[in-house]
Amino acid sequence: VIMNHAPKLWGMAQKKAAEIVREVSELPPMPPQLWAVSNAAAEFARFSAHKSTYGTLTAAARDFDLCHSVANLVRDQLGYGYERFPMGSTRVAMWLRRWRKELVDDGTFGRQPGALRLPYAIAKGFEPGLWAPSDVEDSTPQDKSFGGRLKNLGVATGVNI
Amino acid sequence: MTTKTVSEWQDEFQKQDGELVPAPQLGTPANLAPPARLIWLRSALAELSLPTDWLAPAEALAVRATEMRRDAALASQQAQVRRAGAQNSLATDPEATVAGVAEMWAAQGIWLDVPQGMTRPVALQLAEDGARQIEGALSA
Repeated sequence: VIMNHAPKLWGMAQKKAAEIVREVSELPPMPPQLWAVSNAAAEFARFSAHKSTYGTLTAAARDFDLCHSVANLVRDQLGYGYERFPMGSTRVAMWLRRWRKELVDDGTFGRQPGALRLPYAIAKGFEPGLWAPSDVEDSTPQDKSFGGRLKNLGVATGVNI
Repeated sequence: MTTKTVSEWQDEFQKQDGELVPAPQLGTPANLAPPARLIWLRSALAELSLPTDWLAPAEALAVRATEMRRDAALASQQAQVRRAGAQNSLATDPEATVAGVAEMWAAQGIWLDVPQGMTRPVALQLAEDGARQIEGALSA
C-alpha cells in the first residue's frame, strides 16, 4: 500500500524540503562571522533581526532531516538510491545538488553544527534539497576515473589521498 | 602515527555523510517492521504538516492484522478454559461422560495442541501467517 504511493510520498517530501530551504533562504542575511564562531546561538543573539533565527534554523534542520527520512522509505524502490547517483559523487549529493562545490569547500561546511548547515549550503550555492540522481549535477570524467573517485572519497572522509 | 579521538572520528563521519542524510542502517525507519514503519510514517508526516489521510487503507490493514492475532489469542485462551471445564465436569457433573469430555477436549486441539514439526497450534499459526501476509501488503 505504501509503495504504491511511492512517487506521491517522494513528491510530498521533496516539496516540503524545498519549502524548508526557501524558508531558511528568506531569513535576514546571516551575521558575517557566523561560520567561524563556536557559539552560533550567542552570535545570533547579538543582532535584533536574528532573535528567532536560531530556533527557526534548528527546526528547519530537524524537519529537513525528517523529509529525507520519509523519502528514504521509497528512495530505493523509485531507483533513486545512492548507487544511481553520478559516479564519483559523494553521499551529500542526495541533499546538495551542487555536490562538487561541497567537495572543494575549505572544510568550513563540515565544521558547522547541524542547524547551520542549511544556511551555509544555501549561502555557498550548494543548492540543498531532496534530490534524485537525475536532479544533481553530473560528475566530470575526472570524477569518474579511479583516481578521481579515490580523491573524492578522500576529500569526503578527510583523508589526504 | 597520530591516533584520532572519538570526536575527531565523529567529525569525519559527519563530513562523510553530511550529517543531515545518514545512510540507511539498522534502526532507521526504512528497516522497521511494516506496522511500526506505518506508525512512524504517520507521525513524521503529521510533524511535517503533510497529509496523512491516504494512509487510511494501510492503517486498516494493520488494524486487521492486529485484530487477527488478538482474536486468535483470545480464542485460544477460551479453548483452554473449555478444556479445563470439561475436565472438571467429570468430577463435578454426575451426567458427564468420558466420551463427552474427550470429544470436548479433542475439539479444542486446533487452538491448543502444537502438532509435531510446528511451533504453535494450527489456528494460531494460521492467524500469524494471515497477519503477516496482510502486513506484507503494507509495504507493497
